[in-house]
Amino acid sequence: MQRRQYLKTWLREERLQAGIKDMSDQLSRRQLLELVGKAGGSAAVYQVALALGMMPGRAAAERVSVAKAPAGAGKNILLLGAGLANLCIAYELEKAGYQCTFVESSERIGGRSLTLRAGDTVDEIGQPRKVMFDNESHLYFNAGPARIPAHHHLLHGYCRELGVELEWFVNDNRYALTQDDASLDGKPVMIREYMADARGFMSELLAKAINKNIFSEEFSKEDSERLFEFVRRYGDLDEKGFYKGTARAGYASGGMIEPGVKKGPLDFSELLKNNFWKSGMHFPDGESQSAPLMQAVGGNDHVFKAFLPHLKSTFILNAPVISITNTPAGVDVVYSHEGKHKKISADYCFNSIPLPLMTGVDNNFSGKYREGIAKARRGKLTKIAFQTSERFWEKEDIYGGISWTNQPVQQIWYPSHGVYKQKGVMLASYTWSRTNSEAFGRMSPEQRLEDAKQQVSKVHADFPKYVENGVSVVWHRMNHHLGCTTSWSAEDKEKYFKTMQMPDGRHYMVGDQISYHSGWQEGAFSSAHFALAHFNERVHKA
Amino acid sequence: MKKLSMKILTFLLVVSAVSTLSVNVLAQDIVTPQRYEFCTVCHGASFQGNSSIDAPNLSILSSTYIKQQLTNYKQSIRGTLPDDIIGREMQPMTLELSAEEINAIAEFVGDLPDKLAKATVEGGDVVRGRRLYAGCSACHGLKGEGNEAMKAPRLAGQNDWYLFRQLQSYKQRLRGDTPGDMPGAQMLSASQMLADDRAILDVVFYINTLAN
Repeated sequence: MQRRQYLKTWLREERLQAGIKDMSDQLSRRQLLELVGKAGGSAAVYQVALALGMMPGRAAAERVSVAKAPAGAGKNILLLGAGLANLCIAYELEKAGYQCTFVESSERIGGRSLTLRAGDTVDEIGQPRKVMFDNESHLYFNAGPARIPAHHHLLHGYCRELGVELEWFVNDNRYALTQDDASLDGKPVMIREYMADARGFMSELLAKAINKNIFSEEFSKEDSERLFEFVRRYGDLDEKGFYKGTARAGYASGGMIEPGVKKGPLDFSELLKNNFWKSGMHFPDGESQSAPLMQAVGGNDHVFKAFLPHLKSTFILNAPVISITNTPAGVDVVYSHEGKHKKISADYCFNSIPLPLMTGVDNNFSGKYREGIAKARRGKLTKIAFQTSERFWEKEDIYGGISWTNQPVQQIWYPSHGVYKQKGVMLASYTWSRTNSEAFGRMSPEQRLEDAKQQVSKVHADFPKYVENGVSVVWHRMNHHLGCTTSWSAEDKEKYFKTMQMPDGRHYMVGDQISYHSGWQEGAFSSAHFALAHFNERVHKA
Repeated sequence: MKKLSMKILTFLLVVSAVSTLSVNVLAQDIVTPQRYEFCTVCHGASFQGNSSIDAPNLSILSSTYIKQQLTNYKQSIRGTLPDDIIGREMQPMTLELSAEEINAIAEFVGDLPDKLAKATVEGGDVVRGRRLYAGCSACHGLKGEGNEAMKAPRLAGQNDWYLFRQLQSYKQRLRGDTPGDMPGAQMLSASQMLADDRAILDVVFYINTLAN
């Protein structure tokens, strides 16, 4: 009661200071949080935001500073899974004086943050394969997270703090190609040409409508004139509002010592038959896909590796978890290691095991928590990479970026690094289509490479002759993962997500799976800090 | 880069020696040999099955049955039909297993302590289910205990969602319709006595009562 009165008085003062004089003014949720933040710090903001039901809707998590561990017991932390979320949690908790132990089922640290180089193993379940790339520093690809958007603040914070060097990552390349069997006899088209013509045709249609005064009710005469000019410039139309091609599509010839000759516009009906407009065309407008993007120099696994020299934690690798039991005083975990089952007891446990695999781990969690785990579904994504004898794409003016095709490979990625080197590693496929990925999953690793090679040759006819070796990562076939990105149906997410965000006893589920940004490093860090905020609060309230 | 990795590795090896948490070895537990641990990724840490991966409970099955099914998968007798999506996930797991490895896995899994699945299906008619099960019991036993001689697996304690899907698969000829799978062909015929999903539900509902 006293606390509430205090809060009321404090709020009034803070409102006055914030220039909100009239007490009848409604405080916006955001204003409220700002005020709470001033008084109670980020942990208090989390609690209040949680109460307001605002947490899952936030754009980004605040970075939490974990308060110093209290004297006495309660400092032993068990981390299941050595991916980004738990590495981040260990880093923050160790700074506060906690002792961390990792139990990781695979033989490596990093989870799905996986960069593949010469000699690495792709641990596909039941059929592991070696990576045969030449041993050169630019010959790698990021089988896991590959892109770092500007607004992923937690990730940038750690890269800055831990000295991870970043470079630009080309996501949107207008010189790359789009190809669809249904359009232009399957001939690939430069994306800049497709986009320039598509905008030209759309603008011309709109210009015609404006000229016919179709919008006279919506717009005044002056606005209509402005709209006409807007449309004219948007599509690069002539003065009368007709589209006759544009230099934006790239010249057919000339442009330096001879006058530039414009390409004739493509047939609009053919453009419409190319499904590029359904996704690839707008893809770089996506919330986390807009330029400029970044990547870690030398491979994105440098992000997780940067944590390691700062950790004192014990890492128990090759140790699959058998059971998890919440006890009144902590969490007991049984794992299998070196031919024995071993039980370890901790004060708290942070668990990043993929939810669909957690269904196969015995536990004593509460009903709704277990239901939420069982309802989670695994994502199916595939990346297929080839080492090529030449960087043939550079001869086609392509430096980084993505070509799009209606073939099951879906996207072809050209490396943003290693420009002008002799060889390169390019992605012949990154597909997130469930159907395509399942189809690749059913093929033998060798058959996948063969199929991908043939498909890419529809976009780059000579592709097979440059191929030296390749490797496929079908995430739903990867040992210890069996999926990439975890999701619920919209209905299940509504029903279970908040439950999964909260701990069950002293056990926290974490990882990108416990975020609205699954499949991204920032999702993992956000989940980590959400859990840390809760942890911080409970430990220091106790 | 190499240097950094080595440094990290050395670092990890050094700190591994001073674990901060006490660890107790559970000497009584049966431990999955490391080379077969990959089976548990899908089938659960104790081979108890995992509904999220559609992987059944193996702990209750006999080594004979497991050997037969692994061999069927390896010889493309099971898990190859285009619409058998889940079977086709299992099939590649067996391609790189030798006959000796199949034997060893079957022996190990066959000896595991039974972990009985919890019932998940609801709303079945147990009386009708019992009546329908009369047709199953000739091979699978009155208590769903299975019958080696008939090559019929144990049903009691199996995941009900798996039994449900298998009965559907037999009815839809996704299983048991491949040359070389005699017991499968028998089961395919037998499944036709269950008219629809309702009948499947009832019989699975009844089988759930046999485990207790």
